[in-house]
Formats: sequence, C-alpha cells, structure tokens
Amino acid sequence: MMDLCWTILGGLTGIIAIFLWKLSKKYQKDLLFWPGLIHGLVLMLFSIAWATGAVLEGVPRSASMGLLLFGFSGIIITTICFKNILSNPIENGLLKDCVLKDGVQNKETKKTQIFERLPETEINASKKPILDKKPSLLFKFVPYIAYASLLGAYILGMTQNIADYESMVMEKYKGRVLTKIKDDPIVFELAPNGSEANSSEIGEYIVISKGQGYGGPFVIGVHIGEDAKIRRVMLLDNRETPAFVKKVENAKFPEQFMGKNVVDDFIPGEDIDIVSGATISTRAATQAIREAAHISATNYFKLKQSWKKEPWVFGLEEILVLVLFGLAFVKQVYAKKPWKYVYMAATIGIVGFYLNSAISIGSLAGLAMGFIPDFKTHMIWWVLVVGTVLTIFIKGSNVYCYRICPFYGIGFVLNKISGQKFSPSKGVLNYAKPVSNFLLWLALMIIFLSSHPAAGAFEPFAMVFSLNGDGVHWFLLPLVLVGSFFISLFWCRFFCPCGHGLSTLLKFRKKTITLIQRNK
Amino acid sequence: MENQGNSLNKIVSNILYGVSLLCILGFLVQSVISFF
Repeated sequence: MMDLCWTILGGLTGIIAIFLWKLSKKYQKDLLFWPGLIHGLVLMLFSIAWATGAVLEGVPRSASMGLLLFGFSGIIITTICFKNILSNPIENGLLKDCVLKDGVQNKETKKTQIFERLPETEINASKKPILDKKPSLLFKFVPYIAYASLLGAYILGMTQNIADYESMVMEKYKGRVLTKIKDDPIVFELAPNGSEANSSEIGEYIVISKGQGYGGPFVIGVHIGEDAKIRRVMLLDNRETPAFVKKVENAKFPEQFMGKNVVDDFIPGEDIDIVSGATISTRAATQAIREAAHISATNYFKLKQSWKKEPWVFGLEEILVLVLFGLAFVKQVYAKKPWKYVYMAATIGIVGFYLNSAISIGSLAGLAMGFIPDFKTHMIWWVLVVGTVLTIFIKGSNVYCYRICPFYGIGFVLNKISGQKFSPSKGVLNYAKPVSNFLLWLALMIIFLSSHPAAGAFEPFAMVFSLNGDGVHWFLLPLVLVGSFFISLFWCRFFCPCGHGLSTLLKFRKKTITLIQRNK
Repeated sequence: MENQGNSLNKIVSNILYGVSLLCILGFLVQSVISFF
C-alpha cells in the first residue's frame, strides 16, 4: 500500500516538474512568481505525503492537521501567485505572450483561468433560490413525511432509550449484596463485605445521579464508604461529544474525587480542577458527583449542611457573549463596514476560539429533547441557544447565522483572501437544497433515535476551534476550509444543518402566523 | 477561454462539494454504527 502511495506521489512530482519546466520555457522573466509557485506546489505534495502516512498509521487527526497546515498554505500561496500574474499581465509577460502568438491563447493561460472570477450575473444567480423548478405532487408530501418520521423517531427515542443504570452498577459489584433503598435518585446500600443486607451496621452507599452537560445528561455512579468518603466514581452514561469525554477521561478527572468527604464543596475552579477544553463536561460531571455526595451526607450519614452553595457562574466570558448577542441586533455593527469586520473578528475570537460555544444541530436537538443545562452555571449556552430560538419565535429574525456564528466568519475571511467566487454546476445546485434538507433530516433522525445530540452533529466547529474530532470528521475540516476558500459561503449554503434548522423554524413561525391570520 | 476557465472552476467546485458530502455521510454512517 505504502509503495503504491509513494509511486503515485512520484508520478505527481514528475508531472509537476514537467509542468514547471514547460512554464519556465515561456515565462522566465518573472522572478517573484517562481519561488512562490514552487513553494506552494511543494507544500501541497508534502501535505499529501504527510496525510497518506498519517492515515496508514491510523492517525486521522494528524492527517487533517497536515492537510490544513501544509496543503492549505500551499493552495493559498499558489492562488496568490496566479492572481498576481493575472492582475499584471503586461509586466509579467504572461498574457502578453499568449495573445501575441497568432491571437490564440496557449494551454498554460487556459489553466490559469481556473482562478478567474465568475461573471457578476452568475454570482447574483448563485444568491437566488437554488431550486427554481416547481415540485411535483409527490414531492409536496415529502416534507410532511419527513416531519412525521422525525416526530416518530423523537417519541421512540425518548421512550425506548432509557438505560438500565441499576444493572450497570450491579455488574460492577458482582458478589456484593446491593439493596436499592431509593428510586429518585437511585441509591443502593452496599452491605459490608461478608454481612447480609439490611444489617444494623452502617454500610456503604452507591448513588446514581445526573449532571446536565452541553449535549445531555452526564450520569455518574458514586460509591461512598462507611467513613463518608468517596471511594469510587463511575462514568455510567453521557451524551457529550466523544472527543470531550475522552479529554475528561484522559485527564483522570474522576480520580481527584477519591477520598473527598461528602460534605466538601465540590465547586469547579475552587476545590475541583477543571479539565482545560472540556469545561462544560467537567461542570456536568462535578454537578452529578456533588448531588450524590450531598444527598448521602444529609439523608444517610445525618451530617449537617456545611458546604457552600454553588455560585452563579458570571464573569468576563458571560459578559462578552451577552454584549455580542446584543450587538447582533444593531445593524450598524453587524452589517456596516468597518464595524462589520470588527464584530466578525470578535465572534471568531470569542465565541469560536476562546469559548468554543458555536451552536450546532446537537444544541438545537438537545433543547428539543429537554437536555437543558442549569442557567446559573451555563449562561453562555442559554444566551446563544435559547436566545437565538426565542428571537426567531418572538421577533421573527435569525440573529445567529451570518452574525454571531464564528464559522461563518472563518469562511468569509478565507473567501476574502482568495477573492474567488467559484460555484458548482447547475446540476449540483439544483439538488443542493434537497440534499441539505436530507442531511438535516438524517442528522435529526440519528439524534432522536439515539437520544444522543452529538451522534448526528456533523459540524466541524469543535475541530476548528479546539482541535477535537473523531474519525471521518477529521477529513471534513480541511475540505470545508478549502471549499470556503474558493466558494463563497460554502458551508452555510450547502451543508450547515444548524443554519437550515434555524431557517426551518423561521418558516414554521411564518406559516403558523399566516394560518392564524387566515382563520381570524 | 473564459468558458473553459468557468468549466474548470465548476469541476473544482463539484469535486469539493461531492467529497465534502461523502465525508458528512461517512461521519453519519460512522455514528449509526457506533450508537446502534
């Protein structure tokens, strides 16, 4: 396999060498063009070699990073070189030579046309609704079938996906006598080794409790010893993005609870260390452990409440998000130059890289499934997710897309750098809208059936802003960034399930209002 | 020449669109396999 890859790379290098040699025969005078072009092409070849090696070694993350750092830099440098030539044809001699030869342009010039802008009419055409044809009678029913199937999946997922946490705990304590003494939350009494259940001795307890994370509940079993100290913390279930959970596990987060007394405060950032890059998951897990410890302290060990109440999490981060959300209503800021660019940079920096809080289809589906985190500790989630949805229903406008969304900002900046307005062919454009709707439907079906918001959230946001990803996801990131470089609003127009979901909510609101007005 | 340039840019766009779509579908299939 590796031999084949090296042969292909060798072939590609040969083709590029011949291409450069042919170009050098005709355009020798341009000194700035050559180092740039060769540098760009070498970077692209190197990134292919890197990515191939990484994939074969089973490290997709490394492949993605290689393609991004080297391949994408190569594409940018090559594009700038070609743009430079095209914008100064006479000085560089490129177009001049071509036109002079019998009035016919040579092959190399034609190749450079790949970087030419689309005519204005075509750019405007791409902004028009993509599907112009009137849908047939059969297609009229497709949306209703989709809505009905989503409702079915939602009901099925909510009623069927109830995990049996009791069995999970019993499995882990095989051979010990476990007696269930409470239902909500589930509490087991663990008789001391060798003794019978319900003996007069104070035994140990296992409490199963939940904390609300970004994607759903974080279920944890906490084993408390007879000395009122935590003996074991078991992560039983979670609905978080797998990459964040991996971070929590790798940081040995549960280990720091061992030996802690049930009357401790358990406050992240004070007596509990937060795992960097997985703040929300850390808070959710701590919330579950705190609840388990304090329930057992008051109910079973009869200890007095001496712990601090969980404080409101309100600091600079929350203020920044509130300000950005407020400014999304001020047209002078989000739509007019130069403030538009300042606002965009702020959303990329704060909502994207600093907080990594971009809304995904998982956030919207989680809201629909009732996975709502505590307002006191997750104000950012409330402002962005609940704020956006409420604005759609109350005001009838989507303040998130093209304003707060940091991924839109990244795509916009990349496209500005290239200055290109590539567009897929009409055949693809005709099917782009149904395809994006299908992707939204498929993502929601997977989320509802699995009751796991992260399962269908295919957006590469977390990878861009915190380099967290899983499997195939890693290949999507470089593709989307390269796509945004050449095609304006590549992600927003063709794929974004969150954007399409919010648009669907807007349409739903409009239709409901029209229906109400008609019946009046 | 302009037409040829446009057709090349359409080919590049179609490839980017198609491969991205395949990656998304791949991710969703991967999710289905791991969660069900």
